[in-house]
Amino acid sequence: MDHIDSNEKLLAMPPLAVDADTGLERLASTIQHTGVRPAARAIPGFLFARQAKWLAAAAAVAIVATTLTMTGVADSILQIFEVKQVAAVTITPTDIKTLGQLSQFGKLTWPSQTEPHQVASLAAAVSETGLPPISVRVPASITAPATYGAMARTQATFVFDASLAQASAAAIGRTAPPMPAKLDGSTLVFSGGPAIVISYGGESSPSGALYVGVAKAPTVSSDGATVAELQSYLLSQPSVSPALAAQIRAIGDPASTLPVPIPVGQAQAKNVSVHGTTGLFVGDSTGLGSGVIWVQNGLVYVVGGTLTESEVLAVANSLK
Amino acid sequence: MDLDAVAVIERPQVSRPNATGATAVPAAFERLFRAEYARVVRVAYRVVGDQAEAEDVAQDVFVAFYRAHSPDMPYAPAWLHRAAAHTALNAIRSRSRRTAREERDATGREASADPEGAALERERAREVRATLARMPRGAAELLALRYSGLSYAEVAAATGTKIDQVGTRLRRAHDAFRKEVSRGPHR
Repeated sequence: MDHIDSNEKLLAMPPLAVDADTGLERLASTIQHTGVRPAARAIPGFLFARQAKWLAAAAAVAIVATTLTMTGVADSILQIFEVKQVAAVTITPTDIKTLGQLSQFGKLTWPSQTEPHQVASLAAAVSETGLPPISVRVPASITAPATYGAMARTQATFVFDASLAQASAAAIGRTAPPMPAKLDGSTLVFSGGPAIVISYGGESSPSGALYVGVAKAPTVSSDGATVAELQSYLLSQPSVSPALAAQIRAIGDPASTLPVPIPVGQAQAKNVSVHGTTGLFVGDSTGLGSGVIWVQNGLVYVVGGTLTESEVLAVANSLK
Repeated sequence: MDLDAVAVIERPQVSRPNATGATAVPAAFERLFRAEYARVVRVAYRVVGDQAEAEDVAQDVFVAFYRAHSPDMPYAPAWLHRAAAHTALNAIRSRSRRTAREERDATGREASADPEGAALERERAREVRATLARMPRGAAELLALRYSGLSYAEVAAATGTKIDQVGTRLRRAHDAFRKEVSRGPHR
């Protein structure tokens, strides 16, 4: 096209002699004089795991991330968060490391049985969880048979501990910002499930994999932590990047929005329409895996697998 | 659940001094720098239209990467390319607020054996820069990446797009570019 030709004339690169040696010397000098330190070699497993591992780990991190958006004031245990919608939050590997180290601020206690376990049939999963039965139209490319998993309702308790935060920071040569007295010892209770997961194929399945999950929307309760205390404390940590903090603060309704972490450079996310509501589509950079998550009628739905965007949306919209 | 299992932490190898006495960067980072520096400069140049400024952008990009990422990460080149376009666009959008006098001073310092050719190149660079500054950011990034010499596959990796969608997105970016060229800077 003519305008492309004229654009190309404008945009054509002139010859450019670039001296990498000089550039490297300048960089080394900058590093020396500014005291910039290299990143710890954090290699979050889920960045390299495929399909189920990625989705499961991302979901775990998402639940942890909700602690950054807690809001509400309560004198006793009070539900302050219930997932009603989801929002993408772009995170860097450094952010992932930060979220992974949330335990440095206190003690997280999970009951032993938090993993889905296999059951014989969908009927068994429905009976065990009390959730409505689900079914989807499986793409022809997925030929593996279905297996069914069920997970009971579970709770995790997080208790802030100022002495632990100080000790963790000291161990890496940092000084922790002081934890507000009201926050020290306060408790957050995460509740999740029950859930049903239907799996077709697995990580190494040659015919690809498809996962369909439904769960009661997770909730978080607090015995007194306020939005000001939680946000000012957690988001002011030196290890929380300003970009991540800004994204978290920008969430319109933090009491009901689940931040879904999207690793920068590894995945993309966008809003899509699913069953008449807004869901979040997440695709990895290779185009080999994707998923969609949405919340409807108090239930969180996830469909993912070795599928393209159009395939995964077709599966999601076929869910009954 | 052990939350710390999400991350495996290992410190990079200790830096060693180089021949000039400056602290050398870790070997893995040096390999990455040598492999990608020229392309990062070219991406930035395609936006800012000035080699010295493009090299400044490249330095910022590599320092940011050094601070936050391991050079072994498989996404490193894609991250650097995208960051170069993004940082360069930030630079020109910020610079567009500078006064005309500053712009004249900046270009007036340049010297060339072919002053007429250099003047034409400066004018071309100024038009590209101004147009990219006014365009939607995603489209501007796409053009900067592609016209710095990156392949479709590299553009796809940097923008998180499927390779078979790069052509369509580039055509749309060209439409947006042409529209802005036609409108000119005064609307």
